[in-house]
Amino acid sequence: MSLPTSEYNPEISPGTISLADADPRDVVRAAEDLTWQASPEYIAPTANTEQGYLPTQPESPDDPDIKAATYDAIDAAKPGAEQFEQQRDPLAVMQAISDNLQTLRAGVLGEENN
Amino acid sequence: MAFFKKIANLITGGPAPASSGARRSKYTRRDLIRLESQIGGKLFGVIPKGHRREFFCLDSHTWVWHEEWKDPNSHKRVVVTTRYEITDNGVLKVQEGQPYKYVEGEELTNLLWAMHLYYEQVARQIYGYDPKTGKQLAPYVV
Repeated sequence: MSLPTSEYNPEISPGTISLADADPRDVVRAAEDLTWQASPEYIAPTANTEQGYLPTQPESPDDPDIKAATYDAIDAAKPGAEQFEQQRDPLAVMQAISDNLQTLRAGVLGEENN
Repeated sequence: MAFFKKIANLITGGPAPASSGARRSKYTRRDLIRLESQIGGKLFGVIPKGHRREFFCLDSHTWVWHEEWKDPNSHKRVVVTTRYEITDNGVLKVQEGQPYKYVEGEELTNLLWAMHLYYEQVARQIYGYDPKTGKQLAPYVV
């Protein structure tokens, strides 16, 4: 397993991954996943979802009462929105995939996956 | 708990698999990883002649890229093992003889794609599990 630094070949690093020879159907499916995750509905859940929502601007910026109420709503929604943003993070996706794989393995091995 | 399942569903585009707790195979964890790595090694295109490539999920925080080949000039066996560790701060790339560094940019995107493809293919082809619907497919390998 010992590898001198001089023999490191960056060409095989996933930094240069080529998907050219992957099964096109899987590439399409993966692309659909990513597209779906980036859809407006996914990014901006409506007010009645449990993640809450973050209005981009007050409905009537000139009305101080509405403005104050809107900012209160933004403050109230922030924790949920931030959590939701974190879930879209690549790290969260990677973690979820990794966890799902452990669950699949555990199912075969007869283990409880915590 | 239901909330986390819902979040996992949103993230991966399908329901999270559930473990029944009942063993249904003679395979060991190592066997499963070996099977998965055969699929993982083919995700990045044609493997050069004389190379052996493996890519697999080791555990819930670690992915491994392993490649071996014989150097045509020195005729020495070259082995490169790269470990990707998912941490709270990012994905840490660990290679012997190289400084640790966080994966970013295009490499991070490629790694994410590779994991997506890996999960899609491994779930269906080895575990007979449809990641989209959460339904068991038959027949499955293990």
